[in-house]
Amino acid sequence: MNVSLLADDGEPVRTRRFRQMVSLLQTALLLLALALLAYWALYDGNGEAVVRKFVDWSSSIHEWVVSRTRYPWED
Amino acid sequence: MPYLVLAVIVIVVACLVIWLAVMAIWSLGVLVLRLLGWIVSILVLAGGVGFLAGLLWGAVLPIIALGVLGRGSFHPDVAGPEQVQEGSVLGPPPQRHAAFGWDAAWPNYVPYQYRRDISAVQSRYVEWYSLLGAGAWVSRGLLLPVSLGAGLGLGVSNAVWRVAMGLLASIVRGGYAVAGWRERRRDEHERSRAGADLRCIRCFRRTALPSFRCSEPSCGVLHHDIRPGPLGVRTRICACGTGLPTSLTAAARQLQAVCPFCEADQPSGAGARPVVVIPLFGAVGAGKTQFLLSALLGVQGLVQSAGGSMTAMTGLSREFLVDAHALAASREHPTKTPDGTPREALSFRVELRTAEVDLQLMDAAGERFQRLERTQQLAYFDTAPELVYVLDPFVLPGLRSDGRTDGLHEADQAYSTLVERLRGARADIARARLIVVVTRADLVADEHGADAPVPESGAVRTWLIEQEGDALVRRMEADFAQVEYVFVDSFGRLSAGDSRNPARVVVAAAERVDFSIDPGADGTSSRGDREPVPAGEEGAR
Repeated sequence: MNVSLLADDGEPVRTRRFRQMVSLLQTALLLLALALLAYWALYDGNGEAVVRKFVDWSSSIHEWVVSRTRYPWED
Repeated sequence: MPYLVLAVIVIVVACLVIWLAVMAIWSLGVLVLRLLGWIVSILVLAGGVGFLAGLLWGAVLPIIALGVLGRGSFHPDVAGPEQVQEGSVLGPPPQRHAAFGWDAAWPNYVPYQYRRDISAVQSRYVEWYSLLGAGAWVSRGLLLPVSLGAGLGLGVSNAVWRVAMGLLASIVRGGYAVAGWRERRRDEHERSRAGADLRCIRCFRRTALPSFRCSEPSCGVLHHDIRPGPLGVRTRICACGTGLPTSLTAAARQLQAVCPFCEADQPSGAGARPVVVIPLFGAVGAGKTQFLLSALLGVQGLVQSAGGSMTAMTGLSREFLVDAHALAASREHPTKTPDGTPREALSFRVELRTAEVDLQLMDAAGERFQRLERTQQLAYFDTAPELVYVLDPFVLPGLRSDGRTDGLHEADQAYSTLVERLRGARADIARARLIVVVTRADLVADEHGADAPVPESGAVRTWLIEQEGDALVRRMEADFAQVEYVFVDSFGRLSAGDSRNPARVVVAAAERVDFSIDPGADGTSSRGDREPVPAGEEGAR
């Protein structure tokens, strides 16, 4: 009787291992990509956080509207 | 007057109302615009948060989708042996596999199962795109930018994942291609160095690509092309789950070799060793079987004296060897070979020092060579590198005092029939070697004394011509590029080095596949040093 190379689910054990390896590798790659993205988001090289810039930019929309609008009593 | 005052008051009030209305509208507009500014800012921020969430979810989605953290609802679209044989995994079989299709084995993970797994993950991404799209459509409000941002983040993760997986697949496929090529080259080199060959013992056809049976007894599936490829580079996984080697060298040693043409099981280890083929032909009563028995026993003696062994590989071969020993002990002639189709070749494994060789001996009744149509089953002649023509010298007119030539006619007919068969089968006669074995050297020596030929090829040829066999000699030399003449004594007890020993024919054939059988203690050829036959046994001949 030879040793079967199939797992309980009927697929070869090497398929399961490959699938795990592929998953781990893709996770590692994506986490790396995310880490790079996070680094870029938090620090753009000039000491400024891109997230902060994004928040500032989004709030600047409101500021731009405020700068372009005046209540009657503000003039 | 009062009307005037009233009109002025009305006008003033109207102006005041108009002014108040304008101010109110102005203030309201500013308020709305400023609120909208806030809302847009918040929406942009919400979109950013959604983007990050989508990005993170896209990163973990493949792992969840592939069931690595637990099978869950993941049911892989399996690329298994059945799908391979149906052609839905590897496509239709190539031309060289057309006769038997793809083997029942699991394909390599990359790229076959891999593609299906990638599709499964991609479909999960698509599900999420639909979900986010539907959510955005239903909410159409504050959740819209979140959905759009999440979709965008998911898309970025999806794109990164596709590129990463494409690169991974390319690297693995490249690795497989290189490893497979190297494995094949190494296997070819090993087989070439060992001179490994397979000639079917049943249908006698030669193949460079033997089939192998799965080593699991309850499976026994045939693998027609076990070499490295899409069904395994280092190890092949049979449909039953048994791991099989992918090199022909290893497979021939570990698995049951099977002829790809007739699917007959071959002897153990067949296909891993060089094969020495000795196909005999000749007229009825030429002494083929006696020559075969004597040669076989002689080889066994030579091998054993050199410290090696000779093993019969089939039941028929074992029976033949036992009969050969019994006949040699009793000094009786063998019974005539039955006039039937040869069932299979006599197959022996010879092991000497660290080398091995398969010995295949094929004998057929002389009647098979009387008519062309009776040679149809004798396919082993078509691919044999050398043919052994057994000739009884007492059919030559020069040795007959009664002037009869019917024996020579029969010998000539046997030769002609076989050559006609070879030509009909488009066999490469010009490359084949013909060994003319002239039997009964002992009787010729007894009856003709000094006129008997010296057992050296040129001398035997000259002697045949002198005995009026010149026409036959000319024909043989016209048909074959190489013709060698051997004078043998199939019934004497000759020393290992004696040129008349029938075993010398097999030894010479083995040397042509670089397998040396030591001639024994006396070492060199000792032409004519026939051992004296014990008194009382001479007459038994």
